[in-house]
Amino acid sequence: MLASAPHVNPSVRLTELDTGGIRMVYEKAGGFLIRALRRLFAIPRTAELLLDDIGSRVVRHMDGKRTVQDLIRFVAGEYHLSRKEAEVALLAYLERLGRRNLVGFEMTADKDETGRYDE
Amino acid sequence: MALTLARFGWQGIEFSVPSDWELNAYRGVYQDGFASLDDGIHTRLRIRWEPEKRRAADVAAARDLYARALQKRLGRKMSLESIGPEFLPKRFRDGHEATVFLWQAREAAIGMIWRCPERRMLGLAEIIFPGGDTDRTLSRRIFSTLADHRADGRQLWAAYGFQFEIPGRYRLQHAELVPGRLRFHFQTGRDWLRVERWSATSQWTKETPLDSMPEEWIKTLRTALPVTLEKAGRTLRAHAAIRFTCGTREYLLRKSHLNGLMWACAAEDRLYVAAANNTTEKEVEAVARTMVCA
Repeated sequence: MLASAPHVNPSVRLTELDTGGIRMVYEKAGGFLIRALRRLFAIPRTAELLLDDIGSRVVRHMDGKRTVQDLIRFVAGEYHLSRKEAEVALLAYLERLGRRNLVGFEMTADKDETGRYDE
Repeated sequence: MALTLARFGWQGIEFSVPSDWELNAYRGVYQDGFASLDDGIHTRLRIRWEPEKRRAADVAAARDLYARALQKRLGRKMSLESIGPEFLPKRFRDGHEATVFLWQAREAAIGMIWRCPERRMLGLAEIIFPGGDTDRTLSRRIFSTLADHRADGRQLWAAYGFQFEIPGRYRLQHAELVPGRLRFHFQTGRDWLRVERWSATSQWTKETPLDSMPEEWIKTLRTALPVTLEKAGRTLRAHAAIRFTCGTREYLLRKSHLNGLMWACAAEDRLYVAAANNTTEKEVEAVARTMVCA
């Protein structure tokens, strides 16, 4: 996980806001039944997510090359956090984005840096 | 480059460890528990403690027991050897009954089992070397910094660069690291003590001004009665602190009194809170004064 490179789903529309944040507009996930119910009850197919200052800066740093480990270092340095504090915050954030299919994770070829945890 | 050591303190056990080693797991209580630290990739230090004579009568028996457990876990490829007592500094040997050993398998470790007569416990600490090459100098340096009880009866808690001391009667009820917050909740009988550190305070204060933060914090208790704030005249570690007091409803009819202090460190962009019920303002301030910030 730590050695993977997160990147934003290309189908997500990103808009830079004047406030410094980012708006992510994405199509909601769901199978045939969910889509049919949405159409029946006129529920919008898309949803949007407003990212705060920290979240937006992290997303701007996701270029498909920087690994999760790199992003942890960035967050820790930028916001005076300990490594573990940054790790907890970033992994929770990525998990939330990942659950909505807003980001994907690409494994790098370098097998030496597996980011493995023993326990 | 010189190695920087930072103090780690958990359940009354203290070590100085390389500053990039951080707590990655813990369980248990003051009498019996486990903690491990990692360097970002691998686990580097494991500490276990338990009451003496529960499974082993002394350090030698505990070492044999642990050797058998290692053999079972790592198989025949594991080799274990004893390291002479001279490995540990004399001042350490004088105060502790201890045994040191080294085991080698796919990874290697230098371990120490010691006995604390004051706490009547046996402890096991092992420094893991994932590559298999052990560093005796580092291990010796870390082991020699062990403290397992304090003469002043206080407890040091130090993790993730956050350090503070509390009165020895409190026991950890709950500790959590959630995004932006590090929380410790201690208990003694029905009385509690909470110590917290919030990071990236400038983000929090965008929504709630710093002056209103004590009220916001107290709301999280869900048992608080109206709050009294004293916003001026307090200084903690050269930072202006807000003192807050309020009554709390607990256990239906029982009422208690809460004393707390909150301050922000601009250089670190962090907010610190120390609060306790049914204790004096002086005691809360004594805890707050030990909370280390820039």
